[in-house]
Amino acid sequence: MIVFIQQRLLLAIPTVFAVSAAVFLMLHLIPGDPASIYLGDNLATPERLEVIRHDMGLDRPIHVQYLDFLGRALQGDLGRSLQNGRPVALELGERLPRTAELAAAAFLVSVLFGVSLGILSALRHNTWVDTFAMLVALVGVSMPIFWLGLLAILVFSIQLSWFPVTGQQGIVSLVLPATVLGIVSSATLARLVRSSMLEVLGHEYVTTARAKGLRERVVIRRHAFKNALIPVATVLGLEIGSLLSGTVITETVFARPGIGKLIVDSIQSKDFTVVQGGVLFVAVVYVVVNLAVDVSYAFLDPRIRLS
Amino acid sequence: MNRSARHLRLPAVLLAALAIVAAACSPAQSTPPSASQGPTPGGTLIYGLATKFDTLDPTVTTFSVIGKIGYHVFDPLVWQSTAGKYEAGLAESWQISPDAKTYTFKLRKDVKFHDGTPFNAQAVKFTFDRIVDPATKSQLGISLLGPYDGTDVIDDSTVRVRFKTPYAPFLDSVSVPYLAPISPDAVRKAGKDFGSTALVGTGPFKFASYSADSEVVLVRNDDYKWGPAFLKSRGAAYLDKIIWRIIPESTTRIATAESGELTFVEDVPTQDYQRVKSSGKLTVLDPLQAGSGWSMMMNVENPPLDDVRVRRAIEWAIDKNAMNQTVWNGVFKPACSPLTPNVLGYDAKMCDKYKYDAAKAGSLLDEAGWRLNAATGVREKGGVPLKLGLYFRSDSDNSRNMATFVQSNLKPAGVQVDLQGLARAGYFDAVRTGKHHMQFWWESHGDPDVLRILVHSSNADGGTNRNRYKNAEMDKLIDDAAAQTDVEKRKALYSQIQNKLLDEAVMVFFADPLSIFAFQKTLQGVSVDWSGNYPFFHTAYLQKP
Repeated sequence: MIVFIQQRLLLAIPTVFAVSAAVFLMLHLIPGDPASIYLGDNLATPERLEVIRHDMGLDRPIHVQYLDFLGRALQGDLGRSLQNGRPVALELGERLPRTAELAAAAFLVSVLFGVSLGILSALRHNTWVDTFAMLVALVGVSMPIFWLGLLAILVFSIQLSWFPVTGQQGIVSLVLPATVLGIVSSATLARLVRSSMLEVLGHEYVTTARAKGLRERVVIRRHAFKNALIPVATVLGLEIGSLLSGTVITETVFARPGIGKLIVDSIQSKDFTVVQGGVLFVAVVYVVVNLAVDVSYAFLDPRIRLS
Repeated sequence: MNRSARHLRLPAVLLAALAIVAAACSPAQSTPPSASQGPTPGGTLIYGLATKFDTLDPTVTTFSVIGKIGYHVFDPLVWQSTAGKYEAGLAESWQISPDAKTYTFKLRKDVKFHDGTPFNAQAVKFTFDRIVDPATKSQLGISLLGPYDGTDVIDDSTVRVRFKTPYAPFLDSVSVPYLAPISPDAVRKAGKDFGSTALVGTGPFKFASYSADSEVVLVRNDDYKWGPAFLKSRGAAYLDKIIWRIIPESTTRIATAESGELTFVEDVPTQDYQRVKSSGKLTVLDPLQAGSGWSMMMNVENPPLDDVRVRRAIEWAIDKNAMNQTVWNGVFKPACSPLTPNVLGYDAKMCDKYKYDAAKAGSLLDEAGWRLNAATGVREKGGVPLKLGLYFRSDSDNSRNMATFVQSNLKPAGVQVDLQGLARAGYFDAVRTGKHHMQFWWESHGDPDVLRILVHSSNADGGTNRNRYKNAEMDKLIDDAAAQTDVEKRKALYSQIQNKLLDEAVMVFFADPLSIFAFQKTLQGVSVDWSGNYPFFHTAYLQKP
């Protein structure tokens, strides 16, 4: 397994740089001049625009710009933001803890809520419990997170004064955004767990386990649930990735600076260096998460051998 | 559109005359003094900022929001207590040469920067020279320095600033934080990180920390004893700390004030204004913003807007009262002049120029040869429909609402407006290269020289004059007005400029906006500067609930 992990990590290096090159090229294809955006509605003579383009290094050929970025990135220097001059590593580093804590808390809510609802629904298949659980999941899937977030603020912050809307007061500031984000993403998970459990519960080895006289709880936990987790693990992996990079709306509603919002804002302002740094981060996250998911298969199903 | 700030430019020699004008202008708003308790030191004010920004360095930034923080970390050389009335700041006194090309400032000798280094003439020279250095990439600061030639250090506490051409607006320029002296030592130590991890001025609060897109923390400067006289407290502030929290989402920002989580929020949306005001839970200050307000530029180079009759038809066809009700819930004031009423040179006669008259708009278009096609409802000329591209930033709710209104308002006149809502990158590319027929503008500015930004030819071709209007006579009028030292003559010149601007229908002026601030009742001693843009917390304090 160690060889497998080493190979995958080595393969990750070209993957990450291929992604960054593709993004770099795409950013240059989108219309818009970073120097013009930088000046905004301020005085922008052609000479002034040229000075700023030169200062941003945009007057060099594209391949030179990319190779320069690559060379510095390999030495651990991600450069400085074109729009605010701050080091990209600092921009990412400041947001990473906020993003990570929100992602972790939302993931926990999502797993607890989604898996419980999915299992309950599968075990009470075709009963009112199943119907109700899936209705809840349907509402969760269809509910705009923006609206749910504002509703939570109205009820729990303004009316009840239980939780703050913004700020960095530790876990108490995490409750609302993590719950909103977790509940919305748990809806998909609940439906997946339900269908996966239903499929596994129909297999002969489950019938055999029951025929052997095993207690239902053991049948569910050891035989059904563990096997049902394989597709769930894949989705959970992707979910971690998206939670770490794509929680823009939640970050906007709860005024939390995060990696996702940083990347979206930087794409809009064509802040190449920040986008590149952000994309490198997201690519690494996805590579690591996918690797972890692959490794988890071997633990979940001993028949799977990693080689 | 970034809310860029370009500020009051008034000839310093007109101070006495302008005092009369100032009396007619909106004074700074402030909270009434508390009957029950006097000022008590301590406490933290948490401020909800509506926009994020590029850098905290006021001499470099492009965002006027930095001025709000800047007034608390830095001190200007002079303060402007009301329109055109200047008081000592870091400069105790000043002299202006008769040709307005040289300004000599006598500086206070007892001032220290937050890093302990002395404030002196070298610091003033360093600040100005750094702003004009292209490597600094200064935005607002460099535009406020105008035709800067150089600074001479006469002695430790005397400095002379020279200009290449007469520059009467300079005293106004140094009254805002974008030209406030910064600590040379701190800049040398922090290098490119000044404005990010370091920020050192002389103001009543010291920079403590900045977390990007999240918050800025300032703590009280206990050594402060050179505050502005007009705020009636020259010593250290009462508040221990100010946290400026960045909350761009307006619903969230208002919620944090209503839940009591934040002490003070800016930019209360007009749709929430009446509710917040009538609830009585929060104190609301709503000063009129000085400048030219919300408007629409018309690209005079792009047919059919090269025909003044078409542009005049648009002036007549826009129902500004209905627009104010629809877009701003009736909170703002419908505009009738290129300048807001609190700016020198505002001329009420301009209000008679255009009033909503759809029939008049129609007859002007008929006269210009645009005939209504009854089948399509759109006017045509030589088989070409009357279609105008309105470009706006799609990330702005306000712009979207204005665009929708303009589209529906011009439809009955037979004008088809194509809405081009674009992201920042595409928007700036399009309007700088003149692809647009129309685009919105907002300008907050205390001096009538704001008209230079809008219609002077030096700002056309990709600059701020996106009307692409170039007229030698207009340029001369604007230049003469900026160099004019007689207030009455200056006002007369601005009347001529506005008259010409409206006669030639270069822009449509929609509304004079208010700055709307809301804060907890426990917060006392807050005031807002005369131009309606900057809240001052120098004397603010929190009452115990």
